[in-house]
Amino acid sequence: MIRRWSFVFSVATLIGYLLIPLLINQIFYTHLAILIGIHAILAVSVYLMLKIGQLSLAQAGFMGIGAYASALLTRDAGVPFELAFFLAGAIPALIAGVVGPLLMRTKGVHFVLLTFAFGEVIVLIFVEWTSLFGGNNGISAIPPASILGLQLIAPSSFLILTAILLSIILLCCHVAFAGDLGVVVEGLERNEALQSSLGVNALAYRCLIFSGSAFIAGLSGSLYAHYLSFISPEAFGFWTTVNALILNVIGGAQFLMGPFLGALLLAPLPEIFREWVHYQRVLYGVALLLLMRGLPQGFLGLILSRLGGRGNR
Amino acid sequence: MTSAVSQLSVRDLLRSFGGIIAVNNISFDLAAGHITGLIGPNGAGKTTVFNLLAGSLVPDSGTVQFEGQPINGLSASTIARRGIARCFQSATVFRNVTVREHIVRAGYLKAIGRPVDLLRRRRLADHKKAARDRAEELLDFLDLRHAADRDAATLAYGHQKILGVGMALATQPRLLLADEPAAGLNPVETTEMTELLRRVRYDRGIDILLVEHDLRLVMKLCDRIIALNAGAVIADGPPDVVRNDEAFITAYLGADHAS
Repeated sequence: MIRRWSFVFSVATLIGYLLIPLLINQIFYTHLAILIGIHAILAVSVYLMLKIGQLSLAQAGFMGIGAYASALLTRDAGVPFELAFFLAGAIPALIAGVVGPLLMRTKGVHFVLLTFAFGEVIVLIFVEWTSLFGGNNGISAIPPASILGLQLIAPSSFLILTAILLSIILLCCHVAFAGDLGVVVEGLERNEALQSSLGVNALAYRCLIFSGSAFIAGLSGSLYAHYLSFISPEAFGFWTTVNALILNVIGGAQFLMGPFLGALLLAPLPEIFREWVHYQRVLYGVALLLLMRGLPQGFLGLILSRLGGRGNR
Repeated sequence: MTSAVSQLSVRDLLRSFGGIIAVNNISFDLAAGHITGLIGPNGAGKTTVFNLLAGSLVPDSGTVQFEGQPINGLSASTIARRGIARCFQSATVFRNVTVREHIVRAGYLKAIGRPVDLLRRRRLADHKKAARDRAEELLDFLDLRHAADRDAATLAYGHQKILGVGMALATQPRLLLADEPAAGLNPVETTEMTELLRRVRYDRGIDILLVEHDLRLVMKLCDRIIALNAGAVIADGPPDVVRNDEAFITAYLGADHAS
């Protein structure tokens, strides 16, 4: 019953999001919706790590690698956006695959600190390697996204791309976790020692999830770069990952749709509070406190518990 | 079922944590066809030995061979695939999953031991089918048929521990490592567990090495006992011999009780 409600609610929310550009033709809301989509994709990458009981603070770093890769490949190497977008996911996934066997041997606080350090090293490389990444000034004049030669310059068309990609990512994650991978991942989260004793190579699966999460973070970076047409290292620091984690907690960290719902609720807040610029951070903090106090299981947890008992999936 | 050639050979196994030596150069052999008990007072090194055998810990030095092949240093999952299963205190891993499905999953998880195995769909389908058939047979063997369709998390503690044994059996091991199988059980459940382990050995031909604090159960069930103290083997032999061993009595009851 809960699963059915969860599915119906998820599909309805996604359809609603897909319809935003058709229903609302105001640039401000379109801009907000694009930010929601990009933040949600990054938050999904954090969700994947939470799914195996790990908190990775390197996700914004992977997003940065994707953003810089996509920007440089399209702007300087003339690579078409479609290929650059894929490589924006593949390059951080490859890097995660290389460092994963080292990082994933640690757990808990040690893993959190190691990924924090790794994420900061990535940002430092963006800052220090000025000839390639432009240092603190970042890189600008990033070409807009284009699909089959059609440039997506209008925000509404970029929103359609973001919405479709977000839906595909959520669908892929849903399908993957509904099958055998989900069985393994749930076991890793709940009782890794027992899972290993049943013949599952826990380290290999944890590395796979780490790479997958880096892939998705990289994709969000590509969208970010081609939407804003300018990127700088500060956008990919530790706080960006923390914000993505907050989206999970507010939306419901135990649900795949949690990150998206968290983004729907939270991403617009800084923009809405922009009118009261002096109190913006205070208002954001108070809103966050109230949401965490009122939604201990996240937004989706609250909705599902109202619809059909206790939300547990 | 016929007894497989299960032989574990442990040589000069050493493991320390910081400056504390938990397992101090211990050696023993397990011949096929036995239920062996590993006992000792708290801090004797029993659980460390178990973790070293199961691959949860890597020894500082020494070797472990299973059926003539070295297994020390291998991961827990590889050791499981070699035929050594471990049953844990709590076996309910999956949310909202029945007892039957827990046993089925335990039976096919090693077929997807590595991520690349997920792509071998036909092989996995065969393993799943075999695991389902095996689970039905195991439900009867474990006397859990009545609870087959219940959420495993709702089982009484004693049945959860039996499920743990069942999940280990689903991997088709040749050696079962049982970690305190009777811990937390009432006398009736302890008797049921004792009988189950006896049937695992004598009906299914699976050798058992168990760590247990309940000495009465160990003396009743095991045909060989290895007693540890301070990381070293202090007595080794049949229950009657170990029961009267001076070093064993001293370790458990103090020097005053030794003759």
